[in-house]
Amino acid sequence: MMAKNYETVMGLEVHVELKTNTKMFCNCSTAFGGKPNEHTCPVCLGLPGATPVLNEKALDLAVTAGLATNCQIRRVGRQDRKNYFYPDLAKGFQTSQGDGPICYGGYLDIETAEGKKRIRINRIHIEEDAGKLVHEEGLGSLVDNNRAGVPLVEIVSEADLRSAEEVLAYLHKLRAILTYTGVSDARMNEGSFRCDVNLSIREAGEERFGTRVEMKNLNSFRSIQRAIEYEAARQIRTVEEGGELFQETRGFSQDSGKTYSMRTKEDAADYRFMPEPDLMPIVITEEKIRELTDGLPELPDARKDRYIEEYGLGHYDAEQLISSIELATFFEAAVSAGADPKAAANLIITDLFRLTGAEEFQVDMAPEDLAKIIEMVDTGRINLGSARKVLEIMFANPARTPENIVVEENLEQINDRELLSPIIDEVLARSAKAVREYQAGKEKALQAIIGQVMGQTRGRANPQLTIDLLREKIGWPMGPVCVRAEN
Amino acid sequence: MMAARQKYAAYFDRIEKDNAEIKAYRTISREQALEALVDNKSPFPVVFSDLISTRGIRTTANSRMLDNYIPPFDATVVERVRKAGGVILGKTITREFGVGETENPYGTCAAVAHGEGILGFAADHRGDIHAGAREYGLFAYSPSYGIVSRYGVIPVASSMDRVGILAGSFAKIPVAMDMVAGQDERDGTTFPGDADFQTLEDMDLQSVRPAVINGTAGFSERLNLPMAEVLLESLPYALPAHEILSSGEFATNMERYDGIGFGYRAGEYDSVEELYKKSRTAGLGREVQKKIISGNFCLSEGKYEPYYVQAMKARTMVKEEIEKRLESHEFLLAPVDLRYTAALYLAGLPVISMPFGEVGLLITSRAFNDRRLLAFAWQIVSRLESEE
Repeated sequence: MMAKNYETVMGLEVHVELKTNTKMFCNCSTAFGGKPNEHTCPVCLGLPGATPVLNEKALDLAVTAGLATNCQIRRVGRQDRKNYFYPDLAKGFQTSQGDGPICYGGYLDIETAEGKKRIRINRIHIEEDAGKLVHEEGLGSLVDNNRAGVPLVEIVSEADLRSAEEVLAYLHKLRAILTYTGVSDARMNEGSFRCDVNLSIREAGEERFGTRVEMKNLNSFRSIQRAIEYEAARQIRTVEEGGELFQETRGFSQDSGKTYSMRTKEDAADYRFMPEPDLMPIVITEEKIRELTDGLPELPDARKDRYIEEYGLGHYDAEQLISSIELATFFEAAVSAGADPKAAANLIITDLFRLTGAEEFQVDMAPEDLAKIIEMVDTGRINLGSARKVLEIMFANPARTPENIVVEENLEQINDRELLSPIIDEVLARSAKAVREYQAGKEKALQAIIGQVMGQTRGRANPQLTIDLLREKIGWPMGPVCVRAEN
Repeated sequence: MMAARQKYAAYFDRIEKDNAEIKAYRTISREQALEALVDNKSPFPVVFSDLISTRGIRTTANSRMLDNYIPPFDATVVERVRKAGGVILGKTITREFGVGETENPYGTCAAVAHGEGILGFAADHRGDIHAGAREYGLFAYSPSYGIVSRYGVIPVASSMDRVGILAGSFAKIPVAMDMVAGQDERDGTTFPGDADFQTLEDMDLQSVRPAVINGTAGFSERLNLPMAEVLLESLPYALPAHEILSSGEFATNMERYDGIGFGYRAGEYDSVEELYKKSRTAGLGREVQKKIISGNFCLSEGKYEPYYVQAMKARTMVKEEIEKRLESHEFLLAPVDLRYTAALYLAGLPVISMPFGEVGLLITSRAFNDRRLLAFAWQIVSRLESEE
């Protein structure tokens, strides 16, 4: 029997900490870290009678997030209490929004293998963060309320995502928009950008949704990808084996690479939403919307289009470069310092990403130095391999200059035939086997010989010159490709 | 200073002697009061109900749950009263969390009635202070919702909770209003309102066209003031709507008493679930638990629409009807009765009540029309006094 064709259907709930100085309902600092309970007051500790007052900046940032993702903005809204017991929730309820989110009905576009795809955003609502439980040996569980009351938005997409790649593209695009607009730092490692994935499977062509599983505790892009791949496979396997899927919440273990059940629908809390009587209605005026719209910076998509048009970059490369404001700024600064845009894009995407890790772009080196390295490649002063070495050294020691590194590390390219020729002769003398193989038509053998030359020169040989010299010395391969059968 | 100390020592001697009988005080704050006399140019005696947070003075809401709770901050009303020279004699007995069992539902009234010139502040969510004032022969004032800060007032039903003023004479009410009224940046539901309540305008009682609600018999005659009668058809909905909405708000306001951060915590537990259950079961009284349960019922899935949403609609209906009547009659009079006060608390309107025979007299007006309401009440009080 032929295996059925399944489709994975996903929607995301992304929690984003807003970039405000003070908390949502009090004047406590939102700084990350700090001594436990250093940033607390009667309001965020939930002491009886301590009433909340909404932080206007949080509201502005939430509306900005909506405007930047093509949402409608609710003109008169309210906040609601979401009731549940948890030790890190001092008031016993989270101030959130129920049926009336501040932003709704938006979208953003992502690049996929099949081209541009539009992902709809169902809603964006404001709410406060909870505190944190810390488990201490001998002391039990302790509550740190520094994070309690930090303003958040929850951004809920429609179930428009079909693969882990699309999910990651969506998250990168969303994060780019949020950082460009100053809505959030959106740092996954500090918990200011957190993602829950709702995932179900269905047979291709089916219109109804399957049984939905919500995955939580996904704290890196890598975890998200692994969890999606595992969970989709698990659901397909379960169905194929005649099993039944349950609506449930599942966690993801980084160690085992598997998802595990946290609670089923039967255990789900009834949050007993009710209007928050301590807060007045939220009123967003036309003037406010105009002001926030005027304040929007050039958004990632606009920047991407510009890179494609002005610099001739491909869609994929452009999408990579706009994924964070720091990165895009770095790239543009390198270009304005004289770097060829394509060369700069290549070095950043292939090499700098490897050094920084793809999740957070953070470099201390000056963009002018990147431009300088590219210039050295262009003028033949160093080859591309050495350029990578310079970049690596600079990444670790941003205080050094490319010039200094090239000189001190002796990385200058050998462009002189007279210098390179004897080195090649020496390599050929001890590579008789490889030469024979090459001459017999094995093109790969040439690579091995080039590798030897590079090794001998510590990577400094001019690659083109090396190939030219080798071909002069040992000729073109004589293999079957060069033989033509006579009629 | 010496004279003041003696005067206050005498207050405390009497309070300590009589408290078991009058059931007024939950906590008597003699030491803090004597401290508050230092460098105090205009001291006056004041009590706060035990639902109002006082820095450094135990604030229990008359509950085992908060028996050990000393707030690290003053309620805004307390802060403002202290600044004006107020010397806190103590914290007065209330219903447990404003709704439960108690030795005296009107502890603040008992304290104000017991000593000469004592000013009382009590939080309530239904107008019970007016019933207490009637019983103890006092003047009671509930300012418009939003004029006096609720910051530091232990929440019972947040959209109805108010800090009321209790006094043995009318003249103290405008004085107290000048101390406590006004916007508070720590309470997002407060508004800038009238000031200078002590210079009340003269008012011609006839020309402002007061009316009596539901034709309460005998008011016009006894006040010697011809008044129209207005009907409030929605009145029967007021108490049920009030009960549902206040229970819902109460249930969520009470979620913070979980034995984790502050308040009573059970001694032994095997899980956090059990810690919650044991602490709440032992820390909260039976009536409080019942109100939490009925509130959670009204908010639960499937019940929210038929109960809570309906009650919100009833609230709007009651509010709009009263406001409509107030369009044609700036002041409405009624006997002191929880049906009326519940309706007026749902509507957020100002309420003053005063001794008036068996039934007591209650007057309301438009929201934020507090200054004119007090001016009108002052005319009525003068008329009643001149008749005596």
